Amino acid sequence: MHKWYEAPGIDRDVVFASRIRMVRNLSDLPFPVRMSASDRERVCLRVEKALSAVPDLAWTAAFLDEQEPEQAVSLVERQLCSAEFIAEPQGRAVFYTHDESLCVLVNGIDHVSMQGIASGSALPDVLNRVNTLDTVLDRTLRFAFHTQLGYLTQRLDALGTGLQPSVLLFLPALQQGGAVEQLSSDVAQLGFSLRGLFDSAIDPAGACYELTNRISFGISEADAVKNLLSISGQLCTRERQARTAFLQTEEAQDAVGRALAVLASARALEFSEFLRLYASVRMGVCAGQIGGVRVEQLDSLLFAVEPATLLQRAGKPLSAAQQQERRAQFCGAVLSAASFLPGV
Amino acid sequence: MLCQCCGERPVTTRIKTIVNGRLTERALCAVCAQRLGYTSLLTHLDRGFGSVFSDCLEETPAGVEHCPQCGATFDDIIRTGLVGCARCYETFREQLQPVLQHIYGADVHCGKMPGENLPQPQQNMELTVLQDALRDAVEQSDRVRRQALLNESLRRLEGGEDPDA
Ligand SMILES: [Zn+2]
Ligand SMILES: [Zn+2]
Repeated sequence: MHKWYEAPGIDRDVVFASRIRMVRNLSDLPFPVRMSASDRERVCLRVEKALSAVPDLAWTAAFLDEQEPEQAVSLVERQLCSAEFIAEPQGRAVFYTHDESLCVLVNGIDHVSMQGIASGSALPDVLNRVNTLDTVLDRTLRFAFHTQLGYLTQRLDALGTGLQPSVLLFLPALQQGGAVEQLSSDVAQLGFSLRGLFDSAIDPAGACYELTNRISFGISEADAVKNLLSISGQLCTRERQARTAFLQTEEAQDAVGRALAVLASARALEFSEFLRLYASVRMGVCAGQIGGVRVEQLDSLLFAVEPATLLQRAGKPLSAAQQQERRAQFCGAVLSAASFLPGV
Repeated sequence: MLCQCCGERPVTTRIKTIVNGRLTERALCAVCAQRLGYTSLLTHLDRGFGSVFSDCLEETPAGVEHCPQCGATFDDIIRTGLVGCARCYETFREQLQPVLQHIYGADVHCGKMPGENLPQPQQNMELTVLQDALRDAVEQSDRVRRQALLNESLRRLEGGEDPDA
């Protein structure tokens, strides 16, 4: 299959992935707020045609009008689009490459939103890939642009480069110490957002967060990425320090060992429980306290056992109990050779 | 309705999220929204939309000019907070100008131009651009308090102090 998250990456102990979003709009059609159904169809057709002419890339299309709810949710689980995007499916589409590292969303808040993602710390590379796609698509789609205002969009507060770079961070030790919420308001004052990735509203589970630079005006793409790297570098240092201190305690080591035992041998697992155990085991793997499994295998497991994706890949209806059993089987298979090496 | 997170304060923000494989809406109060990272960029830069538009509305004679491409009026833009199409930026250039100035100050776009390569990063810039934006914001209200807050958060982020300590 070979998806982007199966590949190893730099700094993957803290940086799960690097993502670039770049939004664009067509100049001769109304923006999404004023689009009719036929306008939406027109945008979709044009983008589809432009994408088919991009050399060396093949695209899978998901038209949201035609998707079953769990298929649409699976797109969100696989990090191809947001929950907001599937909430209003009319005329919307997602085009993605086989490895799911590049995707193009059509008729969201903007006509076109290009997204690139890669394992670990790799923002400059991802920016290059998305930038190249933008240059190629612009030749046929002619994105709306104004010399002083930059790339035009319906949102007056989102002019400029149309760029939103982000990093997906794994911050179990900072979360444990209760530091994340303070960090979230601190970085907000600098124009960043720090949000939980899973059930982000109430209880950021799995200790996975997304740090995004939201300033797109008056700053070049490369500088926006540089600012993000500077903040995320500081968060990484803090997380690593906190993790080292945390994992030295016997209770923490015991918790890691127990989490591995449960994840490897459970007969049924709810997703929320999986996320809790995953965070402990991932921390243990990154610290060398758990051997026999690589961090990218563990992350691929996460993608495989997300509820809607699990159902979709099963290819048949499963009862709640069957889903939990299947999730537990996947975990057992990936962790069959894993072992706990306490005191390392 | 009360916040689904703390159960204490009234709801100000609704966000979509996926909970156990299902699309769900969460209703949050302003405090929880901020804590969880869901705030408007403009709130933080002290450049809220509401006041910008109401200021501009007073200055704008009630016109009925329509954008020739999408049919939007300037009232439509104010009502929705959203621009109708690329052509609107030309049609309503004069009315939009104070709004844009309020949001962005004197800045101009300095990134990619269509058909060109990405501009190179500037040397030694680090956080200066953000800090400039914040300094502008600080000019606007409660200068001393905000400046102290900003200095503190920068110091923390630069590793000078542990907020847990
Ligand atoms: Zn609340
Ligand atoms: Zn218009």
